[in-house]
Amino acid sequence: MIALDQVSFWYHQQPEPVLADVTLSVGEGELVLLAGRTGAGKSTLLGTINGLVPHFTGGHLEGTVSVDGVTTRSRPPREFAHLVGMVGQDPLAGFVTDTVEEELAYGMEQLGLSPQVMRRRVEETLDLLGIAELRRRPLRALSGGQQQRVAIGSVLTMHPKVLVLDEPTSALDPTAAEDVLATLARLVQDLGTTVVMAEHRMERVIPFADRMIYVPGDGSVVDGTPAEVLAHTPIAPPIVMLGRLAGWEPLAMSVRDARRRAEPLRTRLRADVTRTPARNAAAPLLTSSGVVVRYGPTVAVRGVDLDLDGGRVLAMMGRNGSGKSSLLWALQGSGPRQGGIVRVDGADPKELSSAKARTLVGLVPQTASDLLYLETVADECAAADRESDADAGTCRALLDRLAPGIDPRKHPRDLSEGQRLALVLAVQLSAAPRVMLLDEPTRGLDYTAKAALARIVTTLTGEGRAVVVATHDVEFVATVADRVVVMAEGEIVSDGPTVEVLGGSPAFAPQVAKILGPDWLTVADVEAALRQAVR
Amino acid sequence: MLSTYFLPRDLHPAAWWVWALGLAVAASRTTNPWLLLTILAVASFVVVARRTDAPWALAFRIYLYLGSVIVCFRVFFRFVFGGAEGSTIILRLPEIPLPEWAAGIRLFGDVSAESLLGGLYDGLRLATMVICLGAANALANPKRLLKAMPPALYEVGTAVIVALSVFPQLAESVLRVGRARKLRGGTSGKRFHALHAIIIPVLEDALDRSLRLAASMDARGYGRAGKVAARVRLVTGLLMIVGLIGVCVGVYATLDGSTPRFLAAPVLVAGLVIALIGFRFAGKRVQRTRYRPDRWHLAELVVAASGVAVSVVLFATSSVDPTNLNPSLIDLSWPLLSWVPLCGVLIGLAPASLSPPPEPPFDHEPIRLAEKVPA
Amino acid sequence: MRTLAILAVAALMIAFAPTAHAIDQSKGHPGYCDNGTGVTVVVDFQQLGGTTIVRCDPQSTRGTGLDALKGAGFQIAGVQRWGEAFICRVENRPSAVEEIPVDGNPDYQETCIDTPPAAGYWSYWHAGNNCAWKYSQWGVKNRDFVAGGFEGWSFSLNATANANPKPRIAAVRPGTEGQPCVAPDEPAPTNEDPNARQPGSGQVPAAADNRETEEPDAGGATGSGDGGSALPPPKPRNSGSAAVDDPADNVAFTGGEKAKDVTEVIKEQSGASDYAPWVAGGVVVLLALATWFTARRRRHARES
Repeated sequence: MIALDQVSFWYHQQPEPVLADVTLSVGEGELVLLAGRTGAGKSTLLGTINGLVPHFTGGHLEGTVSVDGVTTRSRPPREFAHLVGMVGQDPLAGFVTDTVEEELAYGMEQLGLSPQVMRRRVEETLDLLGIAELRRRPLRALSGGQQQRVAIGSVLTMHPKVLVLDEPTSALDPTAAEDVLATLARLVQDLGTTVVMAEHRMERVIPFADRMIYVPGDGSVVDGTPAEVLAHTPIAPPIVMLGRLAGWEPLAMSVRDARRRAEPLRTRLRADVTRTPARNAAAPLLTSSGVVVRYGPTVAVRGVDLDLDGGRVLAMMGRNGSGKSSLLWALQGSGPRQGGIVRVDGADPKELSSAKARTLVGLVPQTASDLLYLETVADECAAADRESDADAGTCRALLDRLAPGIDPRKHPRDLSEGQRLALVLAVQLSAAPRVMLLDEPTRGLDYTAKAALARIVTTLTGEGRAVVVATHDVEFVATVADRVVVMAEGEIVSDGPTVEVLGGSPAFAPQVAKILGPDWLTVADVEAALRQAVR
Repeated sequence: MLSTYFLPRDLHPAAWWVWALGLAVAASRTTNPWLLLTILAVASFVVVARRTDAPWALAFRIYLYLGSVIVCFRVFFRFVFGGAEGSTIILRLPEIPLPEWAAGIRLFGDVSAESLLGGLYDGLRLATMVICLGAANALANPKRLLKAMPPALYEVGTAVIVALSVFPQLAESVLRVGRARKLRGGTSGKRFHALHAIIIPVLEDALDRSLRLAASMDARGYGRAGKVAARVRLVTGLLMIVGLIGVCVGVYATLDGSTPRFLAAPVLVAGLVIALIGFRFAGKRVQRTRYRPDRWHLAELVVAASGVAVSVVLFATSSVDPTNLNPSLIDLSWPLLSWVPLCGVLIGLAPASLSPPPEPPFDHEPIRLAEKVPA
Repeated sequence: MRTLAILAVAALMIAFAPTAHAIDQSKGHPGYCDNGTGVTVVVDFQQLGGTTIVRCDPQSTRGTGLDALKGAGFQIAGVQRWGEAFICRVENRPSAVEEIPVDGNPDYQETCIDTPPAAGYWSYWHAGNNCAWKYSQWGVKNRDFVAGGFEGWSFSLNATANANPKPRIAAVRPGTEGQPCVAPDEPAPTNEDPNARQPGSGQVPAAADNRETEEPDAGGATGSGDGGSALPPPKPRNSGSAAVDDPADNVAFTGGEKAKDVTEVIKEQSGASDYAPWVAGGVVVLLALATWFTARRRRHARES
């Protein structure tokens, strides 16, 4: 169905090719997972399939890409609309119309199908994706998962032979992500659509994937079944790391598979359940009680009591709309707070000026790049030093510790996601707050970057700070958090050590817990326990 | 047909626009406050009775505020700049002498009731026209109107639709970035820096979104209108432009009594014909179809006809009974009104009962506003 | 807030103001002026039909042509565009329903929205006592009347630029026949500026300047030509050639004592009814109430 023949691609004025001599072919009805570090070229590879690369993005493409026998060289992307459907990361940015029904029909209008055909296909797609009751809703009023499903539907109505998805679940909470992936699996089964998908959080997709393509970043690709490719990649989901640790051959790809194979491992480990004692909790750095946040008639946070201890990492989880961000902003003092008390160092951050508040509590918002507005990294650091009344070079030093190797002359927008996050973190840390709040820092980060972030967070707590991370990413929480708080509808529904909250929960259990039982959260835990057992 | 006449549905937006434009044209022919107030009341009632529950429809009251601002400004300007036209002086203010170069302008001085009333009538007429257009906006979804445009103007319509959605996104971006500024210590430092710090991320965000939107539209086949020879496109483009200019000139000449008559009806008709030819020509090449396009049924005709009837009655009255339409300010007295124009205006009430009610809101589940706030 | 209060006061005054009569008999007196103060105003309807009216404005202070016309008690209407800078109707003639056989448009009706056409308009003349009628070079608000002299208004229908009919009343006060013509020579306008005042007349730019700032170049008033259907530019009239008219050739005139109430005439012509405004007011109130109720009902339905 898709054939890339010796494809190489350079962006304008870049000496290094993003893709170098790539040859691969994808058969009909396969679900192909594309994995690789951020910036390695996954999006570029996906873009070549329907011709956006090079017709839309510019650059120089050599070799041929053909879909169902039609080469992308000869036609612009719009002529491929009936063959290839593309769904991006941010569905809202790709919507053209106002309501669900019109969005589904938009592609068909461009193709010039007759009105009866259009109506029939819209109804079918609504049923297929389970969004029938949403048909006249405005798109902005939908949840993230619903929006993503509508985006998929809007390309499905054209009955393309190939569906290309660029990180479809990155912005979704775990349940919504499961929904979307289940839908995609059903599509592959029922319709026989070829699906090519790039996804960071591979653990969800690997059970469904027929093939896997790994892009290491040097222009080449590694192609094969998931078990083959994952045996050797540096980045891998926990299930694969566990398999490597336990020496399973071939690697288990699904949790069911792994559970069956994990019996011997489980018996070895059951004997060694030793709890690492919780670190001594000093006096809480931030105390809050009865925090209420309202936006007009909507109550986002309902009387939440939360204390943050120094040297501990608190993870805040909950679906989109449960009030996590509102609570973080209210604790920092820059967000609205209609009730309750917050005390940091004896002061209420809301009463202080924002310059003073940020020396008490620092916050890295969801869109970290909102804070950056200067031309170079060095300028940003200099501005941060000025704003924090810190010595010149503080921010620079912090940045080097957090993410070494960033060229100070680079434009902040040219940095990778992880580097940009590190820059914003350094900017906020230059004010030396004792409490650091991170709102969804893991969005868009690959495993390596997440590991780096986990290290950063551990460093911060090592210095005695209190760190709060609001995230959906269960694996990250399992690695880094001491305590987990789950919020729903503005209230805290669950508060306890990580093991307790994550271990038994069906929605929040990390893969290792699903395989080995509720006491084991990460591969590192298992490794440590095995080493202890050996001694 | 009668059984389906009153089923709740959304009318073709052009029907509401014709109705509202009919009222606006009628309002432009008269300065009689009775008639203008009646037109206002008619328009407001029909809006409240037949608008949908979408947020843009609920913004009708902004037009009412705008109208009252217009009236206040007109009266205020008469008050300040020229008020002694009539014989009933109600206020004697000292006049402020102006230098030679402003000799034609008069500040304050005597204020007469006639001039204030003149300003009131004038402002009321303009306000009524603005409110009638606001009524059209509240009753007809602007985006559906753009969708209903002829296929030849599709690209223009799409550009306008996309532009319309830019503003809420920009507003949202500005709010978000403004909040983020506080995290960096607020607007300390020079004003320029503060503005810089907000504008740059917002513009970058907007650029990002627009690129993603363009990629998405491209990937879904936008612009896939087939190959059209450049010469044909040039000819159809010229026809459309010339036609539209003709229509503009013709409409202006018809509504403004002082332009020569040959510019009015002949140019209007000729412009319409040329534009229609151009549209048909251009539209034939286009291979796009429309999903569930709005159709003209009997109810649309009734609504449009009522608006047209109102303006026809007022046009006829102006040639038969012109005194009613422009009350004289010779002496201070209540403006005169005869039955014919009043009944003509009341015809505009027809859509309030003779048109199908709007569709009920999309579902009965209230929108989870919590989804939209930062969660 | 203040404008609202003023408007309220005005409304009250309207309610209690005396109804205006056609000729405002409280101003001026019928017939010629008796002496050298004041100015006599002559209104000759010419082909419109109707008896010529002669009244005196006895004011001893200086004033513009407009002041003279009003001070003699005439009811006038300006055009909507220029206000009273251009006189459109005198004593409601030509009325809004009157059909004037203008060249090229036999059913022409004067709406007084914009400047009347050159083929049918009120031409403005003036003369000193015992002088010949002179076609005025200046607009009605831009020149002062000659004390003891005459202000003339003559409806010009289908006349060419040089042949506007002058008023058919001689500019001679009874009892002063044979005296020499004493009138200051009025210089021609030097530029096209309609706001320019006649030099030597009127010091403070009080009530005589253009009242509309929205139209600061009110070029249509008799000072400058508009071309097309507006007034032709006034040509300098040779005042020396025409001798003063002979009072014996005066047409019949009245002092306007028995003229009909203009307001009533307008009302009859318009076919207005006394009840229609009340009905309109009632309709507006009813609709406002209905609007409020419907809005409330729909809001409740939406929120439930």
